Amino acid sequence: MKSLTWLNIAAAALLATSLALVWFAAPLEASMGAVQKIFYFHVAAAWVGMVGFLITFVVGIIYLIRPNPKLDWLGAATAEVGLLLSIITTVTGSIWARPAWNTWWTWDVRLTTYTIAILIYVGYLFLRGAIEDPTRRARFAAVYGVVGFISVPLTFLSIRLWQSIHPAVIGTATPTSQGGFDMAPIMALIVILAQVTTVLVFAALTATRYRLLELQDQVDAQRALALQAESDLPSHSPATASVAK
Amino acid sequence: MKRYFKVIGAVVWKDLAAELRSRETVSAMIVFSMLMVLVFSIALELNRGARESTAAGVLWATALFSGTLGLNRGLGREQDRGTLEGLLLAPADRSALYFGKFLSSWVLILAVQVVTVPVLSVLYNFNLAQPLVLLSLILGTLGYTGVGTLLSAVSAQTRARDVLLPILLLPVSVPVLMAGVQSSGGALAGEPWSELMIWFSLLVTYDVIFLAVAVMVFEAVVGE
Amino acid sequence: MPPETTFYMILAFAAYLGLLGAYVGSLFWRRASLKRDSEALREMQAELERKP
Repeated sequence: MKSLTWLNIAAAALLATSLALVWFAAPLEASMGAVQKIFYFHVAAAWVGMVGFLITFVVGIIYLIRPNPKLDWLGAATAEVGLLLSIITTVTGSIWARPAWNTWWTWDVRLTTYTIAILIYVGYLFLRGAIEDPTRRARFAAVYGVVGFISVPLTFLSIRLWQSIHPAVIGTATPTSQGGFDMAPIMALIVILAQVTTVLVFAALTATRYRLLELQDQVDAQRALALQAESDLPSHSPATASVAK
Repeated sequence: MKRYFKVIGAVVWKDLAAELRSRETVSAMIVFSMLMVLVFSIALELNRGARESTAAGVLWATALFSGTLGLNRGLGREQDRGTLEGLLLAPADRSALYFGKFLSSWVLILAVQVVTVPVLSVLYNFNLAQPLVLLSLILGTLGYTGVGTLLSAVSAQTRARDVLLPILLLPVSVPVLMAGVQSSGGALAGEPWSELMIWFSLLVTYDVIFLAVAVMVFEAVVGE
Repeated sequence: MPPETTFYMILAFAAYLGLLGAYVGSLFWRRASLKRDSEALREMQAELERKP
């Protein structure tokens, strides 16, 4: 079997294992109860998602210096998977906030920054979808991948300054309500496992998405070739026109 | 070096002369701004007792949204008329073209504020035209136009360009909006400079970073 | 005694697995449609080569 298939199987197996451990082996956290269990994956998704955007940023810079379609595919794949993980982060964070902070939503620094990052990378995907020509698409996506990523820390900083003037955290400000908690040894072990799992899931999804972009490129080349052959031919068959559009 | 500034001047002059003749972009932006002020007044039930922060928010939202109109026209018009290729053929550094486009858009956006600020002052019955508010507007629109010029060059060359520019530009401009609203709102509320300084430094930081990045990558957006 | 938050835990994991599953599903779907396009194009190409 291909190595991509093995990577996907490994990621799925590790995800199943760590889910089982989190559900059945991890102890119940004292101050938050069962909902704390999502934190193993919430925290991992948060930082791995940002790493995805970071890769898009770095790959974008390299692309602008030395263009190569492979870099573009990698940047597109990590941006898309990073977006998925960021959405997971905000949604699970919001669900956790309901019992912990007694509200679904608060303009917390991290929640807000992630929401704005999500909007930036949704824009990135919109941009890719609005350009036909592959090299132009790659160039513009690289530019936006760079500009968008630079604004994320500035957004974080401005929200943080804003929050320090208008505190909006509802409920207590103890370490628990900020997401920190005392860890038993087994918990520390599962925390590490959840990070490794998320990294592997990220790698598997990115590799699969990359493969699809590569396939897409081949199909586009095939299509161009077919259109070429068809225009060389005097007779038009209606069947081909529908596929070749 | 002298040539470089000449090119910038020529681009700015060409754009502003065309705008002075037709006045179509700036008048559309002013009308749009007035409509937004009206919409906000109705939606938020603003009156003479409106708080300083609300006035600052309306001012900034109006500036940013009318700004996208101007930015969309700037390079979109060149693209429509096919004059962008001509500009690119000119034997000049691409960054000179960027600065020229940036300055002409910035002048338009500031010109619209010259109308919006007095109108808002009259409507809400307190003077918005205070030095710090104006400084905040100048610094904020500088960074906004800086990124906006780059992203309008991007969106002008795509299929969905009029829709795409705000989608790309607004999330990236969140720091400007935040720092702009906080600095001008604070100034209106009479907060001391020591409180406001942090927001002005954030505006300057944003301006420097984004102008530098935009200049560096502009070539990739317009050059083949 | 920890507070009873099992409902929110189930909700959170449902959201996590649901979003992940939806993305994996979209990957499968996109792969299938690419394969279909590729196949159709190959047949078309073969047909065009046979004709002359």
